[in-house]
Amino acid sequence: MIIMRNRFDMQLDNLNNELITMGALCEEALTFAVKGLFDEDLEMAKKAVFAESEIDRKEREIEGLCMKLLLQQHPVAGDLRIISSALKMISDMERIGDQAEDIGEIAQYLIGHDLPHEENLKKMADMAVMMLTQSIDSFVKKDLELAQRMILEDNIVDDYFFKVKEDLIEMIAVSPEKGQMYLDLLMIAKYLERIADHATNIGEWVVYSITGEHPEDN
Amino acid sequence: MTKRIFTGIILVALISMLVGTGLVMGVVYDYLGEKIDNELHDEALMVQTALKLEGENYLDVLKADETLDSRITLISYNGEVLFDSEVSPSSMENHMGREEIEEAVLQGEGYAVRHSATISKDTRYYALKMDDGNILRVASEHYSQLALILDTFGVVIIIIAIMMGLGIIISARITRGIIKPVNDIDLDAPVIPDGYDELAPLLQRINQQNKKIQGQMSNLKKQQNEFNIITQNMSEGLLMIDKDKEILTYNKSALSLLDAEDCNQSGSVLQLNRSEAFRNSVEKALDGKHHREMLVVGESICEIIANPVLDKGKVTGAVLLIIDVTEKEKGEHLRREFTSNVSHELKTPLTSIYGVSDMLTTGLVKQEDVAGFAGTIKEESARLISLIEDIIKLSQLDEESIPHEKHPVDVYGVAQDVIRRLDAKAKRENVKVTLSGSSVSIKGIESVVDEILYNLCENAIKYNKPEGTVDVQVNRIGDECIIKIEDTGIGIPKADLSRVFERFYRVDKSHSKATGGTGLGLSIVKHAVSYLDGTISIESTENIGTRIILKFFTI
Repeated sequence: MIIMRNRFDMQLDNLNNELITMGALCEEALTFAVKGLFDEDLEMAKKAVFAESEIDRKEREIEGLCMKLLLQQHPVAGDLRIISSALKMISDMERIGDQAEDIGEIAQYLIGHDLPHEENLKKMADMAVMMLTQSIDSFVKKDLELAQRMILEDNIVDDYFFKVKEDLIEMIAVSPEKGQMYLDLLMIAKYLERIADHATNIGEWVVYSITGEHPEDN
Repeated sequence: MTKRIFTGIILVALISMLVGTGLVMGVVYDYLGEKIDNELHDEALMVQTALKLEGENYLDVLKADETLDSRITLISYNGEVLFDSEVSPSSMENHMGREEIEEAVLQGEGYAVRHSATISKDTRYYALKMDDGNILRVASEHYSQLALILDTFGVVIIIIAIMMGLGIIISARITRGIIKPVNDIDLDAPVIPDGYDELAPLLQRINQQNKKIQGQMSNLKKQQNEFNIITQNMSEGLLMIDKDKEILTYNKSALSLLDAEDCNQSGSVLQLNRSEAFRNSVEKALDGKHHREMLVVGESICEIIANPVLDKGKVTGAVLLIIDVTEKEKGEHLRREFTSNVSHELKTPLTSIYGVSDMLTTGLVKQEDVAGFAGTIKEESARLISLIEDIIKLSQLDEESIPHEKHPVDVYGVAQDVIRRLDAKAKRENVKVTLSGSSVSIKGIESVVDEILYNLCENAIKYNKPEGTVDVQVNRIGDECIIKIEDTGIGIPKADLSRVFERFYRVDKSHSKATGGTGLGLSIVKHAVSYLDGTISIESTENIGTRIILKFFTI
């Protein structure tokens, strides 16, 4: 059966595709950054830094697309929600790209240093990667349940952040000469925590675009 | 159609009403005119008679009579007005040129109608030539045709409105009556309703088209089914998308290879996978280029072959073929590893032979050390030979080029022989080897069974601990021959367990010569067991021991 699709629907599909691509770019950037950090892989760390400009370019592209849709098609109801949440989502994604870049940059300096007590930081990074994947998944599959579940996971990352912070405070006390490195690690932990927050935001916009209600309003 | 019929009927009704009204008006006007003419004629005759009887006096009577409707004028034979009942005769012009007067002069009487646009009235004249030559004219005013229409306009409108109302109701009913049978036609199996013969060609055509469409549909369904059966049973993943990256179709294999969830064959293709390799393949194919790329999904590796679909040189979509190349890649990896291992294993003894012989040739070696150096050459050559023998054995098993005739082999007897041959080595290592069970025969080749047992028992002794034991059991359970070789040795770490059958794989990795061997033993065993249609399983706990169980079919 041939389904006739009008221009608006096609533009919306295009927007959807572009958003998935941008989400995938963010996932890749974060994965590169985390790999670069823990596997001490310089190439990966550099890739994370490089990915940022691509993500920025995608953000501008999608923003242009959204503006075009708003101006030319005057969408209403569900369609308007999709476009407005897309506009919000891309700014969160762009921030994720920036923070992955920052992690990649720090990771380059940390190569060759033995990361102390990296367990909690590693778990935190895995959790952040997982949350980002889930948030993009929930958008791709329009899966309300997954989005809502993912939003709750933010607390776990926050807990890890405090654990990592405590670990680092202890370590600075023991060997203050490595203070610079510990502060770098604290920055990475903070970036990861922010990435998890942005992933949560994406999840919330997914909920909003499906239900019309923002979870934070409830 | 309903609307058209309805408006048609209403229009016809409206036109008929208007035309009817106009015609009726015309007829009424003519009739009235005729009647007035008759009355004027009668009145003229009466006035003539009265004038005859009463003479000029009658004219004064007429002048004084205010109830008189008509206007009476007396005109002399030369056109001069002698008397008029309404206007003074002196103010009136000569009437000779008037139509009715002229007619009366010539024919004795004359009629005329004159229209006055200003008062919307017609004036009808009748002129009679009297016996004295004078002309008597009687005139009467009455409404003109237009005035008649305008005068009755309100009534006419009301009548038209009523008629229209009735017309609408009736037309609606009629229209419904006409349309209903047409609407009731079952287009899948059309029957011509009574009184609708005009529809026959159309319905017949529809019937023919229906049959044609049904035929085409069933053909398409058949083709679709065939296509589905083929694609769904393909082990390769097949994915088709349109130029907007929307999924057109995919098969089950595509989903399992991409480890994606079913999305009802619709939506964006990036739902299935959004990795860089996949996106790249999609983009390239939609750019009109053939593209191949490796995609890692979890543990497995897939190759994506993306091809654009072109229609008149324009890309209308893409077809992606996804092939599982995990085994191939692993095989390739193993092959590369084997090649590098073989080179390494062959080079090591050769290098030492070369070095030693070089020293011997240059005469740098003292006479008393020559024997020792020659011994090294012998040892290394022996190692090289055993390595090459092992490789030959392996390739024979690989190629299955060992003589095919299988004879009954007594496994217990072979095990006894192997243990006897390894006795000296066991004693050296301080390991106790025991054999239990009974005589069991399998169909096989004695040299191959010997190779299997020798290798396994040798390993069990070699990787044992001092005071350790090796227990070999040969038993028959049902129609299977079960051989268990248990040792109390150093065991194999869990991580290495799945790889011990690989060529050159060594748990200790150091490739040291301390334990001897080529690193091909277990690989030969595995190939030999499968050559004899048997199975081998291995259980091991580090520092506790290893148990190997072989199963063959008995005769």
